[in-house]
Amino acid sequence: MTLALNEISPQVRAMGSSLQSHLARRDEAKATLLALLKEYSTAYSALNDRVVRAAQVQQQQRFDWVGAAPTNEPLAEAISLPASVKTITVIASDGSQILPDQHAITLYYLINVGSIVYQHGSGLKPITHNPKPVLCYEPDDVLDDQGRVISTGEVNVRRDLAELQVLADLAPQYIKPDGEPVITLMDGQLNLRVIDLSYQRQQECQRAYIKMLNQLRDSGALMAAYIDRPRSTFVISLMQLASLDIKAINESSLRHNPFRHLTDIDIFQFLGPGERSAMFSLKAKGMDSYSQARQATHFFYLNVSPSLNLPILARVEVPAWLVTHSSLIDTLHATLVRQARLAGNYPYVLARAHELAIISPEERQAVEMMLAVEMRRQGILPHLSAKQSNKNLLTGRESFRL
Amino acid sequence: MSTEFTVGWVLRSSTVGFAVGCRIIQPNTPHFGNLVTVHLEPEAVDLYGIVYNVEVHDDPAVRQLILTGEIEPEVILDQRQNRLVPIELSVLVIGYQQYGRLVQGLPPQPPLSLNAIEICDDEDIRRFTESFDYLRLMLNAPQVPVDELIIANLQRAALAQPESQRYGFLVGAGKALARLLHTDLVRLEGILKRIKMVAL
Repeated sequence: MTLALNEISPQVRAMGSSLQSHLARRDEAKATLLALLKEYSTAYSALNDRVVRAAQVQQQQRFDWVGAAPTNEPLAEAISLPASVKTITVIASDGSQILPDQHAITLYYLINVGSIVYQHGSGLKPITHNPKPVLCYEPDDVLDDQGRVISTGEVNVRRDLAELQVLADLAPQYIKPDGEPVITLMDGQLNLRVIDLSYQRQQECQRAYIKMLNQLRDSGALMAAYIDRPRSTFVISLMQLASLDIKAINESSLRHNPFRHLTDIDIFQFLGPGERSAMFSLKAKGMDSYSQARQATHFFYLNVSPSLNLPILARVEVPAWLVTHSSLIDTLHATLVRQARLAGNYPYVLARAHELAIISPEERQAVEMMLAVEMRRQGILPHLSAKQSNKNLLTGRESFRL
Repeated sequence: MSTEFTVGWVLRSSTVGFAVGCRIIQPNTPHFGNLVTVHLEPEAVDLYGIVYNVEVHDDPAVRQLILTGEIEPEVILDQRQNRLVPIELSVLVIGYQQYGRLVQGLPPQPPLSLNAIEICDDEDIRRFTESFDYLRLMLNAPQVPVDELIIANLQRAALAQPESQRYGFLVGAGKALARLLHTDLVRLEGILKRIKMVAL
């Protein structure tokens, strides 16, 4: 064992003391934020003015302000759990990948997507779908224009596109003429995270992504993205604006957030079992194409826990077009809580889609073994980098570790 | 040899027994006391064994579902039919066939991992139970619920006989047991009583 646990032990004790010492300050900040949330609960106009001001500051100062803006629901309201519909279809997808590794026997990446269709109230076995895994190995797949290995972000974008493609393909098959709702659900945020890509590639991927979101909307399916234990601070950023005089909103005040030790879920601990927060819209740079397609991200926080004492909060993101249909939001709200209560406070379908998608270390080894055999068959000697080879040697035998 | 279809694959084995993994969706998961067979290549040996334990393996996801307490029928169907939760069967080896000769005893070699297991059909059972020497192997098996296993096996084997021959078959089995258990009459009586119930 090389990790000196005895050296860490006193640091762990210091960490515990530090966590304890921050509690009082956190409670104080939480109280301030809650007071602001109540004070500005229906002050939509005053808040929107401040959001506009923050957006102007970021344009002038090349500073990215990310935050929430109110919709038409009181910010401090806790919206009760609506009655669940008897029959509803929920489709979820999730993806997994083997990232390209310059130390592996060859450059490749692999994307695997799993999905499940769960028809509540049908008495039918849920249907699982595993599209063919995609192995990418051509130079154009694994290298960028400068010949560098493509980034993790690029592979993640391709995986996200594959996940949404599955939903866009499946949803129309389950739309029924009687209007029974179909919810499509993704793990993670609704908009495509393209920040690691070149500008041209960002535009290209976003276009493809929004096209699929539009297909889903046009098919009649509801769309939502689910983020468990989010660390987002969108509402906190909004409350920071509320705490400032509009003229005091500038780069300096935006850069210094006095509530930075907290996250939004610290505010929404007041949500009771099954309750959701007000709906907010997400304000961030690069959302124009989503807004134009009525797919701009809106969100609410949801307490899926059945327990009064232990709230378990998730952020649920929905596209703008859905926000105007309050009955559909109620359906989504009720169904997500129903799903989460099936499987330990997390939507059952997302847990199963993850299980179907995940590539285990053993499966990865099997893929690499197949690749090595094929390379040998083609007269190519497969070999790891010296670094990886030594890593494998030194970590493979527990008994030789000091 | 005529058998029905593959119900599972060998997970681990020894000369005296082996464990078999199978999925719950198999429509004909073997029962306790069923005669099963494994064909070994290239030795061209058919092993025969009796299922003495059927175990559904633990699964953390299932534990979680139980703890939540709200199990919808769709979840049960998903867990039972879609997820890869194996059932493990334990099989006691009681004989083998090589070069057309059936031996009620231990085979020269155990099966290998992933050898396919098939349930014996009535014809196989009739052929194998023409002799009752295998009962000695069963009676000597450690850590196996032997008496219950013999009863279940003879009940199944009797059903494989034409109706007119079932009584005679069980009387023959009873006589074989009487020879093997002549020093333990209480135990013998317990088994015979249960077999008699089937015969009547």
